[in-house]
Amino acid sequence: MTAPSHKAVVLEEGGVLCGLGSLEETVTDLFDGASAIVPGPCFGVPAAYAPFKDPSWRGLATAAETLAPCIDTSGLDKNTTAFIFCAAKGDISGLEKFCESGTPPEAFLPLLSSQADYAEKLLCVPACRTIVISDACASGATGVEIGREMLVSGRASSVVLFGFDGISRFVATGFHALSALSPAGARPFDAGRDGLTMGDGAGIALLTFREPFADDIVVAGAGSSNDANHRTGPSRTGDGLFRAARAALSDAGMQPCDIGSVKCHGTATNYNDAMEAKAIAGLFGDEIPPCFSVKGALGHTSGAGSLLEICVAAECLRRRLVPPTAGFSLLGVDEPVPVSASCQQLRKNSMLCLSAGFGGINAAVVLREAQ
Amino acid sequence: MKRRIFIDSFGALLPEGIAGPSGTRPWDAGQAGPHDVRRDQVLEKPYVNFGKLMLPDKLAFCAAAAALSRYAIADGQTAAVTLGIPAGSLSTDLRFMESVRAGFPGPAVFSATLPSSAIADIAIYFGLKGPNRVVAGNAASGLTALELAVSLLETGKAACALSLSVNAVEAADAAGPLLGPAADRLCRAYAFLLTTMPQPGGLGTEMEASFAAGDNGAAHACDELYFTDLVRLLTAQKSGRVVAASCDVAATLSLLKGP
Amino acid sequence: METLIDALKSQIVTALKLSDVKPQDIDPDAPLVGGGLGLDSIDTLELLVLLEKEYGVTIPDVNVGKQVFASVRALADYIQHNRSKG
Repeated sequence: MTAPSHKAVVLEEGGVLCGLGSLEETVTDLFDGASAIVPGPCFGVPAAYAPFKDPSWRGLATAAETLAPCIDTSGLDKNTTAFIFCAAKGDISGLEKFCESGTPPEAFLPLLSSQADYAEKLLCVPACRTIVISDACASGATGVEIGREMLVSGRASSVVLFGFDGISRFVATGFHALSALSPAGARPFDAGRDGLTMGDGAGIALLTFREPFADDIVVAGAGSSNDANHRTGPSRTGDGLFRAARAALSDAGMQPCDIGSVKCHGTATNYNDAMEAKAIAGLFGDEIPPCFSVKGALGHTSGAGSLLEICVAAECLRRRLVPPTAGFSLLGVDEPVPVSASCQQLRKNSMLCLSAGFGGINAAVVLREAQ
Repeated sequence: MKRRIFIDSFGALLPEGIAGPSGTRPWDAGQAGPHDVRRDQVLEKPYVNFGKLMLPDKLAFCAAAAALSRYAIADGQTAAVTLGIPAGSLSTDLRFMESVRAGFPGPAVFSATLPSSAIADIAIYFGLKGPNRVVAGNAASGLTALELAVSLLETGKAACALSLSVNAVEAADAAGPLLGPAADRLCRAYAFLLTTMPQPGGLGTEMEASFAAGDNGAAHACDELYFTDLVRLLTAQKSGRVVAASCDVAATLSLLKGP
Repeated sequence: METLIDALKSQIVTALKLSDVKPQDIDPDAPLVGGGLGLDSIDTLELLVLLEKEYGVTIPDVNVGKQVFASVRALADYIQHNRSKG
């Protein structure tokens, strides 16, 4: 066993676009208890939703161009930089237009590979590898895990992650067919929760592997698993998410008691929140740190969401604050999970970020301030 | 100490038939190719969700079944599944749009409109509860999925990994203009069971794999070229080397028949 | 009523794509959801689509749904009392 390196996977820079705006705007507004959820209908479906603060961001090109300045690509080595595009469905406007009119799309094909190539060009990322990850709603977190693996193993010296998932008629109609949507808006962990709220989302992040400075945010560990239970719903015991979280902690060389706060998946569906509460209680026992979900403010931003939520969590970590969980007032799960109802101090400088997706996929990432 | 990695089983749905450790079984008369695969050709007993599988998911499931029908995974919790699927769920997306146009959006079809939906029933049926990686990129997605499987084993995040590569575009699909000129239109699926602990009765073919950033000027290769070679070597149970290159990733897989 | 039950069995097998089930093998009095057919929650949603598409019938809430999906016979009964087409 070689001597432990002093290097760490550093989250250098990040950016998001969502209902509350940019990363700075989003975090500030989250601390104020704001929400970007507006009443429906959404593409004819009777459900609340959380559109991009600027409607033009719903095009992949505009979102990429807007996020490009969030990271500095000038110093990246073309021969050792990897670009990871994370999306559940990405931008499928081209697919919808084709189905309506028969006209093939122009700028990029609905295939995620085409969207990734297009975004990479717009972002001016000098990459030797382009990897497209589509692990449902855990895409972003899986992308971060893969990026971390590539950096630690030396297969890349820097990793740029970009995620994009926009609300569409396709997705709205589908979620409505699954009876998954809350009519009035997501209420994570609340006793009156009644479904998820769709949200637009995009995110970008730059990871490197170096000796961190004292205030750097480090991706300390990551882990993933599958529930192997149901085509879309999670395991009722929360076992899969529990194992993913434990694997992430183990990867980070940390214990549950080292965690300052949990950034939950918290979709506000009956089953997700019940399952997640079991996983969290199983992991932390009697000492559960403050938990929060941003989906009552930003909606469920799908595959890109788990990347943008990690960026938001990192920023909260930087500011040593746990945001309130918009949409939450009365605990509606069996376990005594301390869901944040108001902005509070973060007592330990680390966060556990959880996400889960259709098909039983679970992914967990541990963020920590470098000592 | 680097962990040794073995290919202990494999399965493939090919234009000529279903391949596996005991050889290739040709399609029956009336079956045009992989998209016509029947449940009884890969599974002895019925599986309630089999008929519900959309084409990409069905191909992935059957390739997995061909690889695992006579192979028992020791510990499901440390069994990963990785998948490379260049066309993503495009085939299923179009079916969902049809159901919307017909006035009755289909819940089951919609739940399969994700590239990762192919993993769901494989994980459920075979009890594979470890990490997942779904690569929905260019035509070397299967190779990247294999690389990610190797990475999971090397880092100890999984003890075994089922690495899948699926190409599912229905011949009669209207998807043509959505795929691009270089698109591979043949239906095929591969599944390779990688493990750090080969079992008695498994192939036990040791694999040394190295992956590197590709040469941006390299000819654009696709999964087909090297997976055909890989299946050929595994079927014949011979040592050999498979080399693949695309503009993203270059790979050398050295197979050593053993132990 | 028996004709409707037979028709329903076929429609269920087709709509839910139960490829290894023959319509005649479905016990009309056995539980539809939570029974031997192994239906999951997505199948239940597909049954709702089937009801609307073939018979113009909707189910107002979860409790009615539990009664209606108790068996094929219960389903047929509900349809007969509420159908607007088919």
